[in-house]
Amino acid sequence: MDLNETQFLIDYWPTLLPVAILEVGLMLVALKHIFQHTRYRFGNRVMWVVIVVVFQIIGPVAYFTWGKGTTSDE
Amino acid sequence: MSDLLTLYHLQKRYGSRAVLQDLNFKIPRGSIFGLVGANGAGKTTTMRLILGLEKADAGTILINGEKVHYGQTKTNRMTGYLPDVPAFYDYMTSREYLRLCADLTHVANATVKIENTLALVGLEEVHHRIHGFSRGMRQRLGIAQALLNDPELLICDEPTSALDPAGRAAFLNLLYSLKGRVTVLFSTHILSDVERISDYVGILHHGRLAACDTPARLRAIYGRHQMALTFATVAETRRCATHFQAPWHDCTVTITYQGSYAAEARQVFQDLLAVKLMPVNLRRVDPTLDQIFMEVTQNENPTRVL
Amino acid sequence: MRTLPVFFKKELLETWRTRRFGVLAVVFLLFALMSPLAAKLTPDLLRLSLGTAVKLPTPTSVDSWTQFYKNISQMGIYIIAILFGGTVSRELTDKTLVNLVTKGLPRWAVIIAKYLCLLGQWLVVVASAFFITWGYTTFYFSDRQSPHPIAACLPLLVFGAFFLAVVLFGSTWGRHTYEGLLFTCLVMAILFLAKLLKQAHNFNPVSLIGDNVAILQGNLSLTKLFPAMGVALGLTLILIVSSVALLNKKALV
Repeated sequence: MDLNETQFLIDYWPTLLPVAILEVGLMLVALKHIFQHTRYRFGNRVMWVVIVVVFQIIGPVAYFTWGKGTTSDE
Repeated sequence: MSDLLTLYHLQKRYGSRAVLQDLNFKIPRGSIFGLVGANGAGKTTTMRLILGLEKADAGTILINGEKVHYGQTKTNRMTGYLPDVPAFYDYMTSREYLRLCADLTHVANATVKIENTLALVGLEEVHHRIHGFSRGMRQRLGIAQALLNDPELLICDEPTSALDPAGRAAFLNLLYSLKGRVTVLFSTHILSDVERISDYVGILHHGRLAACDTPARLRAIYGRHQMALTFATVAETRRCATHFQAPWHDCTVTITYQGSYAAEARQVFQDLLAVKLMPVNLRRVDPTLDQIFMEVTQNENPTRVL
Repeated sequence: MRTLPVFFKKELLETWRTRRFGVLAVVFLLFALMSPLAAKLTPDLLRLSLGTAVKLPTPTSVDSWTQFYKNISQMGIYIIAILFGGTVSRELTDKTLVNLVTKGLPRWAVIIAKYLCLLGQWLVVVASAFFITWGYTTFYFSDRQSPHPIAACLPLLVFGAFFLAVVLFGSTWGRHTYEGLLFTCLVMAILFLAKLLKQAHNFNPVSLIGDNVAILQGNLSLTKLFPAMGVALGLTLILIVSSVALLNKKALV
């Protein structure tokens, strides 16, 4: 199995790497925003952190569309 | 053309409710006009009609002799408007927002103009986004965007109602500093604000201009002469109020009279001696705009005691 | 006329600063990257869960493109609707247009600038996603089963132009973002129901996001979809004109 996993990474790193970078990047930007703010349109900090971390892609998108307190990104 | 703004027979109804009924007034160029009225008296509607944001059912509005048409913005080049709660794009800085406004109104030499206007309202040191602005800062940015295109007529809707006393004083000083250069129409329900800065006061009541004059003349016409008698106990106060048939509040009876103060005071003293009441304080009350406002907006004939 | 670029610039700044464009771009790039990956891995995953005995066909470039169109037509456009469903209604509830309209910004310029900004973003993200998927597909699958990738993508671009007009109209009509979203969903539901009418197939705008793989393989000629493109673009025009008329009537309280 180990060999398989290594082989898998060797075969697919050209797509896996950017996918990982984008997903983690999106998550980090959302998390940064969550921790810089204390108020959200609804929900609390713990809830949004869980949503953003657990649900890849959908979580951050949901946060940026519904959770963000204002339209500003300060 | 001494009048910058003229309203003739303005009428507006929303469904069955008449908001404005035959409203007429003029504002002389360079003066400050305070529009006073209770909530729902039609102050905001009047302003929105002047700005062409709403369609009048009847009547004419002239700015600088030019007729205002609904939905058209030709006369808006002469006006600056500060809404009651000015809304901005929170993601912009004040400079970016003013740049957007300058681009829309084709302000010449915009960069310099923006800096000057920001300095005028005291926001020149603020570089962060509007998102973090306080209520007072938003109000100041509001006046900055309204003044950016050098309007001849500045319209402010309840500009001071959401500000704390210090912010209010600062804002009124700012408005006052424009006197002579810009004609100002502002609405408020805080009467002391009007007394402080306006040249003319219009009292709007049920869609009509119940009174419109300089504060001094309004005081002369509508001001009631009153004196206040303060007693040590509520019981005495009540007895006094019953005797003079006058309203009382806490330990003070307010007596309204006509004629001279001296004659009235003598009469009151004699009456008091007769019923064996002695006030701890007696003073003359100067008419305030609040009283004038109450007087003017009372539909029934004002009852004058004594 | 000079106000249109001014408001367009404001729209660009808004979509950038509010991170809407960023989110949109990241999502579409992920779709683009994951489409070929998913096509390649699906047989392996199935084998893992069903056992090695199961015989499955080797994945081809067609599977990769199928994933791509599925992702965009079933997820991508709805994410757009969610992100941009408040583009007009939010301005109305926040009263942000009052200042600008009293300064002489015509209301038609608001709608046109917003539409152009949406369309620009759509073209950029779809084109980028398309080229990325194309690149990876040719890299992973060296077959000749997908001869017409560009012709297959064209209907999707046209559908986007139509869909954005629907979102824009919904946002102008609805008082809240949710009402606008409801309108968009309703339009999509009606169009999918209309698919039951087989005769109308070539006129139905949703065929523009359903027949892409057939065009890709050369089983369907792009010309067959010209009526649907015509209908979509005609409706786009009607929706934009109606949005302007609607906004002209609205009181900017």
